Amino acid sequence: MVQFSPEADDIELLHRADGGDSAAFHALVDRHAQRLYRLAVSLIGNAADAEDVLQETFIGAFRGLRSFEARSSVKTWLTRILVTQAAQWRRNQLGRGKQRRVAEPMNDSIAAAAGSPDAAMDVQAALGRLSPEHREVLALREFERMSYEEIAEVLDVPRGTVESRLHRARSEMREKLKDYLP
Amino acid sequence: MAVCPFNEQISAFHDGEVDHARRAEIEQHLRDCLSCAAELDRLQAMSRLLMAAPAARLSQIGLHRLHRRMDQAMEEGLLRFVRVFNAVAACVLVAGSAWLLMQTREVRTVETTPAAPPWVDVASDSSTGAYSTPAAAWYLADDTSRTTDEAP
Repeated sequence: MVQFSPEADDIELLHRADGGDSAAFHALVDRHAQRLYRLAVSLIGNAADAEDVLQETFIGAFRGLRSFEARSSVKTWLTRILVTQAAQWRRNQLGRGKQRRVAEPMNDSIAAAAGSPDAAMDVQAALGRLSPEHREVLALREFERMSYEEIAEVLDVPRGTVESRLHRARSEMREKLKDYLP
Repeated sequence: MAVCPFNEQISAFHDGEVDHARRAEIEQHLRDCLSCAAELDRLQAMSRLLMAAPAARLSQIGLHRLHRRMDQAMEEGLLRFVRVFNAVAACVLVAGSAWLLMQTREVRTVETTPAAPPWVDVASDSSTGAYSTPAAAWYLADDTSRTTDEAP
């Protein structure tokens, strides 16, 4: 596989992929896979389905290469596709009558990172109990460190909506995690 | 207990999403308002907690599966293009063949129509079958009974 220099930016890779350069698309996948997978797990709640959603995200991106307009960054564009795919996955689950809990047991490394296994599991469970809208906005802000403008673009809502959703999501999380907060 | 009017702005302040002037105003307010200062502490603690927790990582096998799936998608895309191209080519071929067939039939029709010399003004009366000009009647009559002397 062709190696791209770190300087080669996302837009360049995207244009090369659009021109039929499959190695450029693979490089784009390598750059964004981990970040998007982490977000997918936050939104979906289990690793297997998150991986499926991630695959659908990149397939959607590949098919929509020509529709990319450089008004937003590639990161925002890919995140928007992922959020759409996650919403589609939720609709499919509801259609099949499944309503899974979004929390799943964590591995030891995650538990250790959160300070204690209890804290890690409670955080994940609290996130899983939020409404999809609140979970999305909280994950994009806290895990992706996106600005309000970027979140508004990803979710296709006004900036004011992002602010109010985030405020409500945090209030809800604070209530659920009050044992861990000052 | 009344909620402080600054309360809803603490979230944006925590995220660095307020302009410079507003930031200075909120900072001033935080020195005096214990409730908002406590709210900011809770937001910072929650961010730390969330940042620490969900560190899910895609395994190397998962990444490999993802790349393989992308290769499949690219091949499918190429196959779809080839199928569309073949379909268009087939349509062009059928339409072209039909057009050529129609052209050939038109040529045959023209070839089988009895031609009169251009100097004969052939105009027949369709109801009687009689030719309207003497020249036409003479030319199209049985040539065994025709002599040049009779030419009009």
